[in-house]
Amino acid sequence: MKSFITLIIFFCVNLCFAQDKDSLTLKDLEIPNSPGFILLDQAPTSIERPNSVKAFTVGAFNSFGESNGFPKNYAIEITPFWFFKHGKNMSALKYIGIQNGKLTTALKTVSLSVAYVNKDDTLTNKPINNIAFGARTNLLKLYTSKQRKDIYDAYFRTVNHLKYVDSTLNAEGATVALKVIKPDEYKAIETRVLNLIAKKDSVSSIKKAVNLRPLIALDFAIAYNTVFFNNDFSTNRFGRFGTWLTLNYSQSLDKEDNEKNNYLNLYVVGRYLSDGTKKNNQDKYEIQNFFDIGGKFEFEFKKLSFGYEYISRANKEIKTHRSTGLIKYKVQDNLYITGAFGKNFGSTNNLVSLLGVNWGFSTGNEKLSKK
Amino acid sequence: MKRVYDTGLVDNNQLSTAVNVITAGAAYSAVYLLRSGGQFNLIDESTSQRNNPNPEKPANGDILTLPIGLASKVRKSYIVVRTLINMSHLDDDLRKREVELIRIDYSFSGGFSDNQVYNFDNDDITVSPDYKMVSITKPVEMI
Repeated sequence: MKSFITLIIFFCVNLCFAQDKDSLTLKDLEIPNSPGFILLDQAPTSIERPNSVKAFTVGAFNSFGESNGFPKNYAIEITPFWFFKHGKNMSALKYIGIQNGKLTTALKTVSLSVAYVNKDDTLTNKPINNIAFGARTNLLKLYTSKQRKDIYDAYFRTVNHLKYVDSTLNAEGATVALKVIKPDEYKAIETRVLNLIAKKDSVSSIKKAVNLRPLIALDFAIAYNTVFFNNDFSTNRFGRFGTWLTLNYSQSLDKEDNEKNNYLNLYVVGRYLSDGTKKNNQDKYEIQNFFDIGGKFEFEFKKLSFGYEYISRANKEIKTHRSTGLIKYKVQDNLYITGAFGKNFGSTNNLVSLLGVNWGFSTGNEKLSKK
Repeated sequence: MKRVYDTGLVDNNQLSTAVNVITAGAAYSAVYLLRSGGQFNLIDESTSQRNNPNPEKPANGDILTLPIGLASKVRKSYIVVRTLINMSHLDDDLRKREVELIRIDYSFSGGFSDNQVYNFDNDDITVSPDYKMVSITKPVEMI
Protein backbone atom coordinates (compact mmCIF):
# COMPACT_ATOMS: atom_id res chain seq x y z
CA MET A 1 0.00 0.00 0.00
CA LYS A 2 2.80 2.37 0.90
CA SER A 3 4.32 1.70 -2.48
CA PHE A 4 1.17 3.03 -4.05
CA ILE A 5 1.38 6.10 -1.80
CA THR A 6 4.92 6.61 -3.03
CA LEU A 7 3.71 6.37 -6.59
CA ILE A 8 1.02 8.94 -5.93
CA ILE A 9 3.61 11.29 -4.41
CA PHE A 10 5.76 10.96 -7.50
CA PHE A 11 2.69 11.53 -9.66
CA CYS A 12 1.79 14.73 -7.79
CA VAL A 13 5.36 16.00 -7.89
CA ASN A 14 5.41 15.29 -11.60
CA LEU A 15 2.24 17.26 -12.17
CA CYS A 16 3.57 20.17 -10.14
CA PHE A 17 6.79 20.33 -12.13
CA ALA A 18 4.88 19.95 -15.37
CA GLN A 19 3.22 23.30 -14.79
CA ASP A 20 6.36 25.16 -15.74
CA LYS A 21 8.15 23.98 -18.83
CA ASP A 22 11.35 25.78 -17.92
CA SER A 23 11.63 24.24 -14.50
CA LEU A 24 12.89 20.78 -13.67
CA THR A 25 10.58 18.25 -15.26
CA LEU A 26 10.18 14.60 -14.37
CA LYS A 27 10.13 12.49 -17.46
CA ASP A 28 9.42 8.96 -18.49
CA LEU A 29 8.63 7.37 -15.22
CA GLU A 30 9.54 3.77 -15.65
CA ILE A 31 11.11 1.02 -13.66
CA PRO A 32 14.87 1.49 -13.82
CA ASN A 33 16.56 -0.96 -16.13
CA SER A 34 20.17 -0.05 -15.47
CA PRO A 35 22.59 -3.00 -15.86
CA GLY A 36 23.29 -2.85 -12.13
CA PHE A 37 19.70 -3.72 -11.25
CA ILE A 38 19.65 -6.50 -13.81
CA LEU A 39 22.96 -7.92 -12.54
CA LEU A 40 21.55 -8.06 -9.02
CA ASP A 41 18.34 -9.71 -10.28
CA GLN A 42 16.46 -6.75 -8.83
CA ALA A 43 14.97 -5.40 -12.03
CA PRO A 44 11.39 -6.29 -12.91
CA THR A 45 12.72 -7.80 -16.09
CA SER A 46 16.08 -9.37 -16.79
CA ILE A 47 15.67 -9.00 -20.52
CA GLU A 48 15.30 -5.49 -21.73
CA ARG A 49 16.66 -3.22 -24.32
CA PRO A 50 17.54 0.40 -23.57
CA ASN A 51 14.76 2.89 -23.96
CA SER A 52 15.24 6.09 -25.86
CA VAL A 53 18.50 7.70 -24.90
CA LYS A 54 18.33 10.14 -22.03
CA ALA A 55 21.10 12.45 -21.01
CA PHE A 56 20.54 11.79 -17.33
CA THR A 57 18.19 9.39 -15.62
CA VAL A 58 17.37 8.74 -12.02
CA GLY A 59 15.51 5.60 -11.06
CA ALA A 60 13.97 4.32 -7.89
CA PHE A 61 11.81 1.35 -7.10
CA ASN A 62 10.42 -0.63 -4.27
CA SER A 63 9.02 -4.10 -3.89
CA PHE A 64 5.54 -4.87 -2.60
CA GLY A 65 7.03 -6.90 0.23
CA GLU A 66 9.12 -4.17 1.77
CA SER A 67 7.51 -2.52 4.74
CA ASN A 68 9.30 0.74 4.20
CA GLY A 69 7.12 2.83 1.94
CA PHE A 70 9.91 4.89 0.41
CA PRO A 71 12.09 3.34 -2.29
CA LYS A 72 15.30 1.72 -1.06
CA ASN A 73 16.78 1.03 -4.45
CA TYR A 74 18.15 3.73 -6.71
CA ALA A 75 20.09 4.12 -9.90
CA ILE A 76 21.51 7.01 -11.87
CA GLU A 77 22.48 6.69 -15.48
CA ILE A 78 24.18 9.13 -17.81
CA THR A 79 24.83 9.06 -21.53
CA PRO A 80 28.21 10.80 -22.08
CA PHE A 81 27.34 11.56 -25.71
CA TRP A 82 25.11 14.38 -24.48
CA PHE A 83 27.78 15.95 -22.29
CA PHE A 84 30.70 16.27 -24.70
CA LYS A 85 31.36 17.83 -28.08
CA HIS A 86 30.41 15.63 -31.00
CA GLY A 87 32.97 14.38 -33.50
CA LYS A 88 33.52 16.36 -36.69
CA ASN A 89 31.41 13.97 -38.76
CA MET A 90 28.31 13.99 -36.60
CA SER A 91 25.11 14.36 -38.60
CA ALA A 92 21.44 13.55 -38.14
CA LEU A 93 21.65 10.39 -40.24
CA LYS A 94 24.58 9.16 -38.19
CA TYR A 95 22.74 10.00 -35.01
CA ILE A 96 19.70 8.07 -36.20
CA GLY A 97 22.00 5.14 -36.99
CA ILE A 98 21.22 4.42 -40.63
CA GLN A 99 24.36 5.89 -42.15
CA ASN A 100 27.80 4.30 -42.02
CA GLY A 101 29.67 4.53 -38.77
CA LYS A 102 28.60 1.64 -36.53
CA LEU A 103 31.26 2.60 -34.00
CA THR A 104 29.82 6.10 -33.81
CA THR A 105 26.40 4.60 -33.17
CA ALA A 106 27.73 2.37 -30.41
CA LEU A 107 29.65 5.21 -28.74
CA LYS A 108 26.63 7.46 -29.01
CA THR A 109 24.42 5.07 -27.09
CA VAL A 110 26.92 4.12 -24.38
CA SER A 111 25.41 4.84 -21.02
CA LEU A 112 27.11 4.53 -17.65
CA SER A 113 25.22 3.81 -14.48
CA VAL A 114 25.52 3.32 -10.78
CA ALA A 115 22.85 1.36 -8.94
CA TYR A 116 22.32 1.10 -5.21
CA VAL A 117 20.32 -1.78 -3.80
CA ASN A 118 19.67 -1.98 -0.09
CA LYS A 119 18.57 -5.26 1.45
CA ASP A 120 18.35 -6.63 4.93
CA ASP A 121 20.32 -9.73 5.89
CA THR A 122 17.81 -12.46 6.66
CA LEU A 123 19.81 -13.76 9.65
CA THR A 124 21.07 -10.60 11.37
CA ASN A 125 18.49 -8.16 10.00
CA LYS A 126 21.36 -5.76 9.30
CA PRO A 127 21.58 -3.93 6.00
CA ILE A 128 23.44 -5.31 3.00
CA ASN A 129 24.43 -2.47 0.70
CA ASN A 130 25.00 -3.34 -2.94
CA ILE A 131 26.62 -0.90 -5.31
CA ALA A 132 26.77 -1.87 -8.96
CA PHE A 133 28.51 -0.07 -11.79
CA GLY A 134 27.26 -0.76 -15.26
CA ALA A 135 27.54 0.19 -18.89
CA ARG A 136 25.49 -0.68 -21.91
CA THR A 137 25.22 0.19 -25.55
CA ASN A 138 23.49 -0.71 -28.76
CA LEU A 139 25.83 -2.58 -31.09
CA LEU A 140 23.60 -3.08 -34.06
CA LYS A 141 20.32 -1.87 -35.49
CA LEU A 142 18.88 -3.43 -38.61
CA TYR A 143 15.96 -1.76 -40.34
CA THR A 144 13.85 -3.24 -43.10
CA SER A 145 14.33 -1.69 -46.54
CA LYS A 146 10.92 -0.03 -46.17
CA GLN A 147 11.89 1.43 -42.80
CA ARG A 148 15.15 2.75 -44.22
CA LYS A 149 13.30 4.30 -47.13
CA ASP A 150 10.77 5.88 -44.76
CA ILE A 151 13.55 7.35 -42.60
CA TYR A 152 15.52 8.68 -45.58
CA ASP A 153 12.36 10.13 -47.13
CA ALA A 154 11.42 11.83 -43.86
CA TYR A 155 14.95 13.17 -43.47
CA PHE A 156 15.06 14.70 -46.93
CA ARG A 157 11.55 16.10 -46.55
CA THR A 158 12.88 17.82 -43.43
CA VAL A 159 15.96 19.19 -45.22
CA ASN A 160 13.74 20.42 -48.07
CA HIS A 161 11.56 22.10 -45.49
CA LEU A 162 14.64 23.87 -44.11
CA LYS A 163 15.38 25.12 -47.61
CA TYR A 164 11.83 26.46 -47.70
CA VAL A 165 12.44 28.19 -44.34
CA ASP A 166 15.49 29.88 -45.84
CA SER A 167 13.32 31.21 -48.68
CA THR A 168 10.63 32.27 -46.21
CA LEU A 169 13.15 34.25 -44.17
CA ASN A 170 14.22 36.11 -47.30
CA ALA A 171 10.61 36.70 -48.29
CA GLU A 172 9.78 38.05 -44.84
CA GLY A 173 12.65 40.50 -45.00
CA ALA A 174 15.23 38.62 -42.95
CA THR A 175 17.79 38.82 -45.72
CA VAL A 176 21.52 38.45 -45.29
CA ALA A 177 21.80 42.14 -46.13
CA LEU A 178 19.60 43.02 -43.16
CA LYS A 179 21.71 40.74 -40.95
CA VAL A 180 24.78 42.87 -41.76
CA ILE A 181 23.13 46.29 -41.85
CA LYS A 182 20.52 46.00 -39.07
CA PRO A 183 21.19 42.83 -37.09
CA ASP A 184 18.55 43.63 -34.45
CA GLU A 185 15.79 43.93 -37.03
CA TYR A 186 17.04 40.75 -38.68
CA LYS A 187 16.90 38.93 -35.34
CA ALA A 188 13.35 40.08 -34.67
CA ILE A 189 12.03 38.82 -38.01
CA GLU A 190 14.03 35.59 -37.74
CA THR A 191 12.65 34.90 -34.26
CA ARG A 192 9.07 35.52 -35.39
CA VAL A 193 9.39 33.25 -38.43
CA LEU A 194 11.11 30.43 -36.52
CA ASN A 195 8.51 30.52 -33.74
CA LEU A 196 5.68 30.26 -36.25
CA ILE A 197 7.29 27.42 -38.18
CA ALA A 198 8.25 25.46 -35.05
CA LYS A 199 4.57 25.26 -34.09
CA LYS A 200 3.58 23.53 -37.31
CA ASP A 201 3.22 19.75 -37.31
CA SER A 202 5.23 19.44 -40.51
CA VAL A 203 8.35 20.34 -38.55
CA SER A 204 8.09 17.14 -36.54
CA SER A 205 7.45 14.69 -39.38
CA ILE A 206 10.96 13.27 -39.04
CA LYS A 207 10.34 12.24 -35.43
CA LYS A 208 7.75 9.65 -36.40
CA ALA A 209 10.15 7.96 -38.82
CA VAL A 210 13.07 8.06 -36.42
CA ASN A 211 11.00 6.44 -33.70
CA LEU A 212 10.37 3.33 -35.79
CA ARG A 213 11.62 0.24 -34.02
CA PRO A 214 14.40 -1.47 -35.96
CA LEU A 215 13.55 -4.99 -37.04
CA ILE A 216 16.55 -6.34 -35.15
CA ALA A 217 18.66 -4.74 -32.45
CA LEU A 218 21.66 -6.15 -30.61
CA ASP A 219 22.61 -4.63 -27.25
CA PHE A 220 25.59 -5.23 -25.02
CA ALA A 221 25.80 -4.66 -21.27
CA ILE A 222 28.38 -5.17 -18.56
CA ALA A 223 28.13 -4.64 -14.80
CA TYR A 224 30.19 -5.10 -11.64
CA ASN A 225 28.84 -5.23 -8.13
CA THR A 226 30.50 -4.75 -4.78
CA VAL A 227 28.88 -5.46 -1.42
CA PHE A 228 29.07 -3.75 1.96
CA PHE A 229 27.64 -5.08 5.17
CA ASN A 230 25.93 -2.99 7.83
CA ASN A 231 27.01 0.32 6.23
CA ASP A 232 30.67 -0.46 7.01
CA PHE A 233 33.15 0.34 4.21
CA SER A 234 35.77 -2.10 5.54
CA THR A 235 33.42 -5.00 4.82
CA ASN A 236 33.75 -4.32 1.08
CA ARG A 237 33.84 -7.54 -0.98
CA PHE A 238 33.15 -8.71 -4.51
CA GLY A 239 29.52 -9.38 -5.26
CA ARG A 240 28.86 -10.10 -8.89
CA PHE A 241 30.17 -9.50 -12.38
CA GLY A 242 28.16 -10.05 -15.50
CA THR A 243 28.21 -9.34 -19.18
CA TRP A 244 25.43 -10.06 -21.61
CA LEU A 245 24.07 -9.66 -25.12
CA THR A 246 20.41 -9.08 -25.88
CA LEU A 247 18.98 -9.69 -29.33
CA ASN A 248 15.64 -8.04 -30.00
CA TYR A 249 13.25 -8.68 -32.87
CA SER A 250 10.35 -6.23 -33.26
CA GLN A 251 7.42 -7.00 -35.50
CA SER A 252 4.91 -4.27 -36.12
CA LEU A 253 1.31 -5.32 -35.49
CA ASP A 254 -0.12 -2.43 -37.51
CA LYS A 255 -1.37 -3.38 -40.93
CA GLU A 256 -0.94 -0.19 -42.92
CA ASP A 257 1.78 1.75 -41.19
CA ASN A 258 3.54 2.05 -37.87
CA GLU A 259 1.70 5.09 -36.66
CA LYS A 260 -0.01 3.27 -33.81
CA ASN A 261 3.27 1.77 -32.64
CA ASN A 262 1.88 -1.64 -31.74
CA TYR A 263 4.59 -4.28 -31.67
CA LEU A 264 5.34 -7.85 -30.83
CA ASN A 265 8.82 -7.88 -29.36
CA LEU A 266 10.84 -11.08 -29.07
CA TYR A 267 14.10 -11.17 -27.11
CA VAL A 268 16.91 -13.64 -26.64
CA VAL A 269 19.57 -13.07 -23.98
CA GLY A 270 22.88 -14.77 -23.30
CA ARG A 271 24.75 -13.85 -20.14
CA TYR A 272 27.96 -14.79 -18.34
CA LEU A 273 27.70 -14.29 -14.60
CA SER A 274 30.34 -14.54 -11.91
CA ASP A 275 28.58 -14.70 -8.55
CA GLY A 276 30.41 -14.23 -5.25
CA THR A 277 27.41 -13.78 -3.02
CA LYS A 278 26.94 -17.39 -1.87
CA LYS A 279 28.71 -19.08 1.03
CA ASN A 280 30.16 -22.59 0.86
CA ASN A 281 30.10 -25.27 3.55
CA GLN A 282 33.00 -23.60 5.38
CA ASP A 283 30.87 -20.45 5.72
CA LYS A 284 33.13 -18.57 3.29
CA TYR A 285 32.06 -16.73 0.21
CA GLU A 286 33.03 -18.49 -2.98
CA ILE A 287 32.74 -17.45 -6.59
CA GLN A 288 30.46 -19.45 -8.84
CA ASN A 289 30.28 -18.94 -12.59
CA PHE A 290 27.04 -19.30 -14.50
CA PHE A 291 25.68 -18.99 -17.98
CA ASP A 292 22.20 -17.59 -18.47
CA ILE A 293 20.17 -18.21 -21.56
CA GLY A 294 16.60 -17.10 -21.94
CA GLY A 295 13.92 -15.38 -23.89
CA LYS A 296 10.98 -13.07 -23.58
CA PHE A 297 7.94 -12.12 -25.59
CA GLU A 298 6.21 -8.82 -25.15
CA PHE A 299 3.13 -7.26 -26.66
CA GLU A 300 3.45 -3.52 -26.83
CA PHE A 301 0.44 -1.34 -27.48
CA LYS A 302 0.00 2.38 -27.30
CA LYS A 303 -0.59 2.58 -23.54
CA LEU A 304 -0.11 -0.95 -22.36
CA SER A 305 2.58 -3.54 -22.67
CA PHE A 306 2.77 -6.97 -21.13
CA GLY A 307 5.06 -9.90 -21.51
CA TYR A 308 6.60 -13.01 -20.05
CA GLU A 309 10.22 -14.03 -19.68
CA TYR A 310 12.02 -17.23 -18.83
CA ILE A 311 15.75 -17.47 -18.16
CA SER A 312 17.70 -20.57 -17.31
CA ARG A 313 20.82 -20.14 -15.14
CA ALA A 314 23.18 -23.05 -14.86
CA ASN A 315 26.68 -24.33 -14.20
CA LYS A 316 27.94 -27.88 -13.64
CA GLU A 317 26.38 -28.19 -10.19
CA ILE A 318 23.46 -25.79 -10.06
CA LYS A 319 20.50 -25.23 -12.29
CA THR A 320 17.83 -22.65 -11.59
CA HIS A 321 15.55 -20.36 -13.52
CA ARG A 322 13.64 -17.12 -13.44
CA SER A 323 10.06 -16.95 -14.67
CA THR A 324 8.23 -13.64 -14.48
CA GLY A 325 5.40 -11.71 -16.01
CA LEU A 326 5.59 -7.98 -16.56
CA ILE A 327 2.95 -5.36 -17.18
CA LYS A 328 3.43 -1.66 -17.85
CA TYR A 329 0.75 0.97 -18.24
CA LYS A 330 1.24 4.48 -19.51
CA VAL A 331 -0.93 6.79 -17.42
CA GLN A 332 0.20 9.86 -19.28
CA ASP A 333 3.15 10.90 -21.39
CA ASN A 334 5.54 11.01 -18.48
CA LEU A 335 3.96 8.64 -16.01
CA TYR A 336 4.20 4.87 -16.22
CA ILE A 337 3.20 2.24 -13.70
CA THR A 338 5.10 -1.00 -13.94
CA GLY A 339 4.61 -4.25 -12.11
CA ALA A 340 6.30 -7.63 -12.20
CA PHE A 341 5.39 -10.90 -10.55
CA GLY A 342 6.96 -14.32 -10.64
CA LYS A 343 9.83 -16.51 -9.52
CA ASN A 344 13.40 -15.28 -9.31
CA PHE A 345 16.57 -17.37 -9.50
CA GLY A 346 17.37 -19.65 -6.56
CA SER A 347 15.26 -21.78 -4.30
CA THR A 348 14.75 -19.41 -1.37
CA ASN A 349 13.66 -15.79 -1.08
CA ASN A 350 12.85 -15.93 -4.77
CA LEU A 351 9.57 -14.08 -5.11
CA VAL A 352 9.54 -11.30 -7.70
CA SER A 353 6.90 -8.73 -6.76
CA LEU A 354 7.88 -5.29 -7.87
CA LEU A 355 6.17 -2.02 -8.44
CA GLY A 356 8.16 1.00 -9.38
CA VAL A 357 8.67 4.32 -10.99
CA ASN A 358 11.60 5.92 -12.66
CA TRP A 359 12.12 9.39 -13.94
CA GLY A 360 14.75 10.94 -16.12
CA PHE A 361 15.33 14.62 -15.82
CA SER A 362 17.36 16.85 -17.97
CA THR A 363 16.89 20.57 -18.09
CA GLY A 364 19.76 20.87 -20.50
CA ASN A 365 21.74 22.57 -17.76
CA GLU A 366 23.57 19.59 -16.28
CA LYS A 367 27.15 19.74 -17.45
CA LEU A 368 30.26 17.66 -17.10
CA SER A 369 32.39 19.95 -19.22
CA LYS A 370 32.23 23.38 -20.69
CA LYS A 371 31.67 23.70 -24.37
CA MET B 1 29.15 39.23 -34.66
CA LYS B 2 30.93 40.21 -37.84
CA ARG B 3 34.25 38.56 -38.64
CA VAL B 4 36.87 39.83 -41.08
CA TYR B 5 38.94 37.94 -43.63
CA ASP B 6 41.88 39.72 -45.26
CA THR B 7 41.89 38.88 -48.96
CA GLY B 8 45.39 40.36 -49.43
CA LEU B 9 46.88 42.80 -51.87
CA VAL B 10 47.13 40.34 -54.76
CA ASP B 11 44.03 40.76 -56.89
CA ASN B 12 44.13 37.33 -58.48
CA ASN B 13 44.12 35.40 -55.20
CA GLN B 14 41.53 32.65 -55.63
CA LEU B 15 39.47 32.57 -52.43
CA SER B 16 37.44 29.65 -51.22
CA THR B 17 35.29 28.71 -48.27
CA ALA B 18 33.90 25.58 -46.64
CA VAL B 19 31.27 24.98 -43.99
CA ASN B 20 31.30 22.02 -41.61
CA VAL B 21 28.13 21.63 -39.55
CA ILE B 22 28.45 19.37 -36.51
CA THR B 23 25.09 18.50 -35.03
CA ALA B 24 22.72 15.59 -34.51
CA GLY B 25 19.98 17.75 -36.01
CA ALA B 26 18.93 17.81 -39.65
CA ALA B 27 20.71 20.75 -41.29
CA TYR B 28 20.69 22.86 -44.42
CA SER B 29 23.15 25.64 -45.28
CA ALA B 30 23.05 28.41 -47.85
CA VAL B 31 26.06 30.58 -48.76
CA TYR B 32 25.36 34.12 -49.92
CA LEU B 33 27.62 36.74 -51.43
CA LEU B 34 26.55 40.18 -50.23
CA ARG B 35 27.87 43.08 -52.30
CA SER B 36 28.73 46.43 -50.80
CA GLY B 37 25.64 47.95 -52.40
CA GLY B 38 23.34 45.59 -50.53
CA GLN B 39 22.65 43.19 -53.38
CA PHE B 40 23.12 39.57 -52.57
CA ASN B 41 22.94 36.27 -54.36
CA LEU B 42 22.99 32.63 -53.37
CA ILE B 43 26.28 31.12 -54.48
CA ASP B 44 25.88 27.60 -53.09
CA GLU B 45 23.81 25.46 -50.79
CA SER B 46 24.01 22.04 -49.19
CA THR B 47 21.88 19.47 -50.93
CA SER B 48 18.30 18.69 -50.09
CA GLN B 49 18.05 15.86 -52.60
CA ARG B 50 18.30 12.23 -51.61
CA ASN B 51 19.56 11.03 -54.98
CA ASN B 52 22.19 13.68 -55.21
CA PRO B 53 24.66 12.83 -57.97
CA ASN B 54 27.23 15.31 -56.71
CA PRO B 55 29.31 13.88 -53.86
CA GLU B 56 30.62 17.39 -53.23
CA LYS B 57 27.22 18.29 -51.85
CA PRO B 58 26.54 16.48 -48.58
CA ALA B 59 23.06 16.52 -47.12
CA ASN B 60 23.99 17.44 -43.57
CA GLY B 61 24.41 21.17 -44.05
CA ASP B 62 28.07 20.92 -45.03
CA ILE B 63 29.52 22.89 -47.91
CA LEU B 64 32.72 21.34 -49.17
CA THR B 65 35.45 23.57 -50.61
CA LEU B 66 33.65 26.27 -52.56
CA PRO B 67 35.51 28.75 -54.80
CA ILE B 68 34.06 32.19 -54.11
CA GLY B 69 36.04 34.16 -56.65
CA LEU B 70 39.12 36.30 -57.10
CA ALA B 71 40.14 38.63 -54.31
CA SER B 72 39.55 41.64 -56.56
CA LYS B 73 35.92 40.54 -57.11
CA VAL B 74 34.90 39.78 -53.54
CA ARG B 75 36.86 42.44 -51.68
CA LYS B 76 34.59 44.83 -49.72
CA SER B 77 31.76 42.29 -49.80
CA TYR B 78 30.47 39.76 -47.30
CA ILE B 79 30.16 36.01 -47.37
CA VAL B 80 27.11 35.19 -45.29
CA VAL B 81 26.29 31.59 -44.37
CA ARG B 82 22.84 30.78 -43.05
CA THR B 83 22.40 27.33 -41.53
CA LEU B 84 18.96 26.06 -40.53
CA ILE B 85 18.66 23.08 -38.21
CA ASN B 86 15.66 20.95 -37.28
CA MET B 87 15.92 19.20 -33.89
CA SER B 88 12.41 17.79 -33.72
CA HIS B 89 13.49 14.14 -33.89
CA LEU B 90 15.22 14.51 -30.53
CA ASP B 91 13.36 14.09 -27.25
CA ASP B 92 12.28 17.28 -25.50
CA ASP B 93 14.99 17.08 -22.85
CA LEU B 94 17.76 16.51 -25.38
CA ARG B 95 17.04 19.37 -27.76
CA LYS B 96 18.27 22.15 -25.50
CA ARG B 97 21.39 20.17 -24.78
CA GLU B 98 21.99 19.52 -28.48
CA VAL B 99 21.61 23.23 -29.26
CA GLU B 100 24.50 23.85 -26.87
CA LEU B 101 26.56 21.21 -28.68
CA ILE B 102 26.12 22.63 -32.21
CA ARG B 103 29.41 23.57 -33.79
CA ILE B 104 29.97 25.09 -37.22
CA ASP B 105 33.40 25.64 -38.71
CA TYR B 106 33.52 28.33 -41.40
CA SER B 107 36.83 27.92 -43.24
CA PHE B 108 38.33 30.51 -45.56
CA SER B 109 41.50 30.22 -47.59
CA GLY B 110 43.42 31.80 -50.46
CA GLY B 111 43.86 35.31 -49.05
CA PHE B 112 46.37 37.13 -46.89
CA SER B 113 44.76 35.61 -43.78
CA ASP B 114 45.58 32.20 -45.31
CA ASN B 115 43.59 29.37 -43.76
CA GLN B 116 41.23 30.87 -41.26
CA VAL B 117 38.47 29.07 -39.37
CA TYR B 118 35.65 30.96 -37.68
CA ASN B 119 32.87 29.79 -35.44
CA PHE B 120 29.50 31.37 -34.89
CA ASP B 121 28.94 33.82 -32.06
CA ASN B 122 26.08 34.14 -29.61
CA ASP B 123 24.38 36.88 -31.59
CA ASP B 124 24.43 34.72 -34.73
CA ILE B 125 22.08 32.06 -33.38
CA THR B 126 18.30 32.17 -33.00
CA VAL B 127 16.40 29.28 -31.42
CA SER B 128 12.64 28.67 -31.27
CA PRO B 129 11.27 28.39 -27.71
CA ASP B 130 10.80 24.62 -27.97
CA TYR B 131 14.34 24.19 -29.37
CA LYS B 132 12.98 22.48 -32.48
CA MET B 133 14.20 25.08 -34.98
CA VAL B 134 17.58 26.78 -35.02
CA SER B 135 18.91 29.41 -37.38
CA ILE B 136 22.56 30.45 -37.42
CA THR B 137 23.67 33.29 -39.69
CA LYS B 138 27.38 34.09 -39.90
CA PRO B 139 28.62 37.10 -41.88
CA VAL B 140 32.31 37.32 -42.74
CA GLU B 141 33.58 40.56 -44.24
CA MET B 142 36.11 40.29 -47.04
CA ILE B 143 38.59 43.17 -46.79
